[in-house]
Amino acid sequence: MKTLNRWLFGEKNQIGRRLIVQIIAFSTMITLLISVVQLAFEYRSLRSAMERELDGIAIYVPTIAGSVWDFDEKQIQRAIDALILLPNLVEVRVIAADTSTKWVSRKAATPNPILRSYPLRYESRGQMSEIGVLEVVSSLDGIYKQLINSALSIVLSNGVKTLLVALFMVVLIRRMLTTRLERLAEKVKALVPGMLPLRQVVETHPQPVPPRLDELEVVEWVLHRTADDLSMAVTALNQLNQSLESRIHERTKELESFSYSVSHDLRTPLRAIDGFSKMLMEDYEDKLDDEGKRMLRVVRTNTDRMGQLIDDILQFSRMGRQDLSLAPVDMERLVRAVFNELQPLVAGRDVRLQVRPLPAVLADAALLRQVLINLLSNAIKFTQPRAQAIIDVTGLVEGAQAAFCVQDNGVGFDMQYVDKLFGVFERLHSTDEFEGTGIGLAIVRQIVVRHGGKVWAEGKLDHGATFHFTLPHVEKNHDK
Amino acid sequence: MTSDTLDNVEVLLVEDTSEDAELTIRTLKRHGLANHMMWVKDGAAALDFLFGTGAYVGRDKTNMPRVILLDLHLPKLSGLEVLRHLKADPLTHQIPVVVLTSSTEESDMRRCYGLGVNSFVSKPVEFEAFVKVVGKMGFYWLLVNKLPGL
Repeated sequence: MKTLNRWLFGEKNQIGRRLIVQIIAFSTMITLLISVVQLAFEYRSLRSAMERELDGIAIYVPTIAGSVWDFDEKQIQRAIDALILLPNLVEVRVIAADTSTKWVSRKAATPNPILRSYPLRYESRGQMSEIGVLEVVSSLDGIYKQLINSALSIVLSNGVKTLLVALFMVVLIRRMLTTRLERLAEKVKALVPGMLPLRQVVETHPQPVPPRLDELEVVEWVLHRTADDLSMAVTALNQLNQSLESRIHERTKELESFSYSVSHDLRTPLRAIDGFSKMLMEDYEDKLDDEGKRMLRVVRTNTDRMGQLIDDILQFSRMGRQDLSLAPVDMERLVRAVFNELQPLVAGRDVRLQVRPLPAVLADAALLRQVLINLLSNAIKFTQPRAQAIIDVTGLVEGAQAAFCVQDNGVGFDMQYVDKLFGVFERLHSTDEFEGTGIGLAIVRQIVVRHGGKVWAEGKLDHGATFHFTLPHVEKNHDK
Repeated sequence: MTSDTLDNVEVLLVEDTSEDAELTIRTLKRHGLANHMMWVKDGAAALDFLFGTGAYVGRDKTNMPRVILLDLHLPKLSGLEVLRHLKADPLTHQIPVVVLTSSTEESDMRRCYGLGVNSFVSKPVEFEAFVKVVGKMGFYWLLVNKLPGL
């Protein structure tokens, strides 16, 4: 029984159980109601059949009346003995009016009798007179018996029908609803421990799922909690965000004051070193020999380099802080403009710039200009040993990004150092070979990354270098 | 300095680094621009000098310098505070103030111009460039620029 119960309803299937019980109760009630109505109709039809039978007895009445007139006792007894054989009749009696003589024929006693009387009339000399009465006692026992039989068969057949339908419903409900609900409830319950870390963030005493909830109530409860949790989590996240923002703000301030002191406090002594070496050279020229003057020049050259380093690191930190003001930029025009600006570096050399059609980008024009200045001046610088330097700028659209490529036929680099290329103050050449502090590509990377792009390089020693970078693409003709 | 020279100051240099001050004075001298020059080492001294208070009681306040060369990074009162005082006081707000600083920060420039500075000059590290910039600056403010009543 228990196994059947489990098979029908499932282990924890409370909704299923309730549904089945209620369906069975309701259909049983309806079945009973219908049966009662059916039985009532049957009773009525049986009763009217009986009445008709009793009405039929009236045809014997004139004959019996004749016999009573003639006082033919034998004939009377024979007639009522015949009548008693009719179904349902239990007693037939004839009572003569004047003498009160009584003839009786009886089958059995009955607890449910119905009495029907027929007056016996006789016409003599044109005058109709009542000479007696025929009384017939009929029993309802037969009808009741028949009704009980019908009731039994109706209840039996309806009961079987209801049971079968209910079973079908059980299977249907279980298949289509409750097993799924059970799974859903299990899954949702499993969510609760998953949410525990979250709840611990926002509340000190996480609640377990209360017992005695049905499947839908569990889902409802958990959903409710989840909504609460989410709103708490959002609040907590917002608070975290705010504290992060204020921390960033603080850090930015720190950085600003740091770069301020770099710009101010490091320059001041440097200016004194440079200025006083120069003054020494000017004021004590006659007292210094050539070696002394050379040494002072070394002091000044290095002061100069130090000054350049300070300027570069300042520029680098400034690029990182400056707000981006994004607008569509015509790359072709910008590349040509920057190359023209860099003409002083080209002076006396054969440097050819090839600009292919370039996609437009959404960028901060001033910062992008700096990217191109650094890349093109690098290309110009590292092609110095070439009789004819060729710088090739190409670009194409890749989805939402525009990818660009600046290629030169310069001295290139060894791919084993490619990771160092974009580092701050990283250099692959000595200052004697090529000038520079090593900040240019670091700034390029910083600017490109701040635009959401990527930058990378390929090269081969003595076979040129190629710098790739991507920026958000924008359709042309948007600018001006 | 005698009280007579105190009243004839044409250039007031506010600079806490003596090396920087020496370089500036030498440069202006070389251009023949530092004949009547006064050097103070902090912001409080600069205000005392201009308003005739503290160590400078009795100075003739009707004689104001033609230009004030102001460093930003100063002990006691910072350059910005001095600038705010000068531009807020009717006695001094007409005196041209040139901020002469090592800073190249845009935020410094914004703050100075917001307070009404007349010029913002970044001191180059390299000496030749320094001489060029400070010389031009002195030449402009002392010889080219016209002031009312002088």
